[in-house]
Amino acid sequence: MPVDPRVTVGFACAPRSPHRRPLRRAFSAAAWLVAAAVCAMLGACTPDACLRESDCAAGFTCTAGACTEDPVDAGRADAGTLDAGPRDASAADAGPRDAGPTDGATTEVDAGTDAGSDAGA
Amino acid sequence: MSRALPPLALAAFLATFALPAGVDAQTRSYAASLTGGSGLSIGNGAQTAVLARTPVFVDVALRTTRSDEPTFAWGGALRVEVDGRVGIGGVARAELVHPLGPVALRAGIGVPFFFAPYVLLGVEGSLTLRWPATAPIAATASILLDAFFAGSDLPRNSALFMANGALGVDFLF
Repeated sequence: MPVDPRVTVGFACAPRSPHRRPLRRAFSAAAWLVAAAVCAMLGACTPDACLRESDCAAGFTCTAGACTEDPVDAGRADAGTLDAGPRDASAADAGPRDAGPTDGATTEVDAGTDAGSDAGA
Repeated sequence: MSRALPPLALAAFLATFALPAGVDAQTRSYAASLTGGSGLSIGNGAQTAVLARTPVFVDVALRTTRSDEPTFAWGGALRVEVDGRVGIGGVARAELVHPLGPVALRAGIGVPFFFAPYVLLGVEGSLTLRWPATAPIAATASILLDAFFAGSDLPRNSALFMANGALGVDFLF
């Protein structure tokens, strides 16, 4: 006598819990959401974009999705005292490396300061 | 007046701690969880929306439930961003718990905030599935939807939206 496989399976398996169906739906929805998120991340991310100030390096501001140099810092750096001020004209350029101590008579700091002040003046 | 203080203090202590425990038999259970996640962030660009990957974050959370109201949980989490930066913040959250057989589904709403090094404030909706593994430990998978609308971390006139996924472990105690 042929055995109906559906009957065999029906008796072999444990009865299904009534909670199984919503659980399976939840798993399916979660899987679709995860897949969509992964696809979106792989394909649609904008390289070098910023969304937050913390995405940008120090001295940069996030503006319209891109990191731009902070105008306040840029102004200071380009035309401020650091580049064109006394340090460039005196101590730094004509300081210890250019006119520094070669005879060992004085310390490097003293010689640099003196030479820089002279050259700057 | 000073003689009246000790009885008053004792009464206050009993009213605060001892009496409610005796009158009401409800108990409170706690759970701690460790979760890590990331996802997709969406914000304002020059003309179009900008998409970027959400920095990986780690949540260390504490949750509590009362025995007479097991479907409601509330708690908080310490949230640390650890991907290319260190951002420190937290989330205050309330959740509705719906048991689905051995698995529990938690739907929550919360207030995420960052306070260091930048400030960020928003709202968060969450959906968490909790699978029990061994007795006190369970695995969790969450989907978190965030909207940030205030704080010094946001560029001017912009908002930030996140759709994140998170995986973690849950400890009941």
